Amino acid sequence: MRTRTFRAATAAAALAVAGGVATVSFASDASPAARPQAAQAQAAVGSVAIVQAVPKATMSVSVDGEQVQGGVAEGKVVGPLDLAPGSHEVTVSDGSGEWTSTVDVQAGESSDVVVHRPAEVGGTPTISVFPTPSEPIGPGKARVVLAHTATTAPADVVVDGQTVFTNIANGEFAEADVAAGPHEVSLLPAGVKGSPILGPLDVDLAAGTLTAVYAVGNPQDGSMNVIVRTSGATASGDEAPTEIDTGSAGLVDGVRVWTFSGR
Amino acid sequence: MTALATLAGCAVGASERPADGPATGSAPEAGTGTAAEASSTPAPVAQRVGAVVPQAPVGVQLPDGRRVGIRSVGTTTNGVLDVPGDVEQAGWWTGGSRLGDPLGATLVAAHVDSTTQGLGPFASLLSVRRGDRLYVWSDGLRQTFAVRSLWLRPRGTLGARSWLHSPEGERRLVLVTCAGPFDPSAGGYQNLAVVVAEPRGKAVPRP
Repeated sequence: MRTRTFRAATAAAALAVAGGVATVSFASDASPAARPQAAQAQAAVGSVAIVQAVPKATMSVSVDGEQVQGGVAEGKVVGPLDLAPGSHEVTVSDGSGEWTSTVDVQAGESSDVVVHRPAEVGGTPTISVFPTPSEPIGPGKARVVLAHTATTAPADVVVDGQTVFTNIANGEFAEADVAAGPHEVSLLPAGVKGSPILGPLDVDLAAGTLTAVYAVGNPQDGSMNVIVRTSGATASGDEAPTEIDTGSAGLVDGVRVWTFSGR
Repeated sequence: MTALATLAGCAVGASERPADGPATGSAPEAGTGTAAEASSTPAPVAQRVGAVVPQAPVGVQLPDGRRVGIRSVGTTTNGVLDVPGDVEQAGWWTGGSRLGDPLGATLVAAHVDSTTQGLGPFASLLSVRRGDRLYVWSDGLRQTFAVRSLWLRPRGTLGARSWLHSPEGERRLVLVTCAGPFDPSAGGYQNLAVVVAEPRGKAVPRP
């Protein structure tokens, strides 16, 4: 099997290293050719993207025994592939080891199948399915999915200075709809204020999109990184009101209102 | 002494071993890693954690204790928030933040009065005080808010990213109703009363 680095495990207090700027690799969705096909057959197939989130590894990816793509480096995305509903075998191999999992595909739904390291240092690659939340998004909003696929303990997520998600462990994700536009995101060890494991990262979210952020790597050896995947989402199509009209009888005409403001 | 030390040594050895155990012992996963061994393993489906699943608010308890039902409303083609005609019902703009969303405004508006029903419960918003409690609930969640401000704004046009309903910025509950002066020749009420309340704790599952 593969050689593992245990060196990092003994570097107990190396968290301070993690504050550095992480590189952000953007993987854009789908080749243009794949899209119309997906739209046509939306109800009959499920959409699956395979995300290679094992640091410093190059994988070949097979589905149901057939190689889909070889030489897939860290941060690269295979697909999205249109797969028939039902069970499929996804196999990844880095030349020294091979890992297979069955993935259940539902018609009309999409998901990311992510090959990543578990929370323990030196653990073998794991395959997890991250379903894509498909509820419509309100106008002016963007959806963020933050997935923990890194070699580290549970984390909290801080967006624009506020802790918005707590205690997300490896193989879990958090999801929220936020205003479109620029945001600052950091990952902190769960329940601890101080040095981030990752970030702060500047992300710019376009309205009506879904951005999946996969945290990968190991903060103790400075290899933390993110894989960012952006795709379109269903908009709710509800415009913001420009007027509010809430009364007609004049009964509070003479009511004096004592206004106040502040915190 | 020697025996004790040896025993202690054994004990440490024994207690350390289980830590190694799973790695070498769980042959199907780590040991072989072959397709044949692992092919029957279903990939775990990642769990959504870290925060509750946001929901549409369905009711609010005002500081005076009155409970008001909330309906989900949109915007009419004229750009007017589609507030329920019934003064006993409030409307939540579905494009805004839901109960449980981490950021942004939850805009809830109701008529202050009507010619057929008289004053509505939202008329009490004209006399709220700083720190007054508001309770909002959805089908599965509830959250407490505290009044931070009460102000009046002309009942004119709202911007596209108005603070009243924008998903940007800190989490807030925004309650809106009309306020005087009332000028029938100029479209009725001239002002909106805006109550902004901040969360006291997170949205939590209802008991």
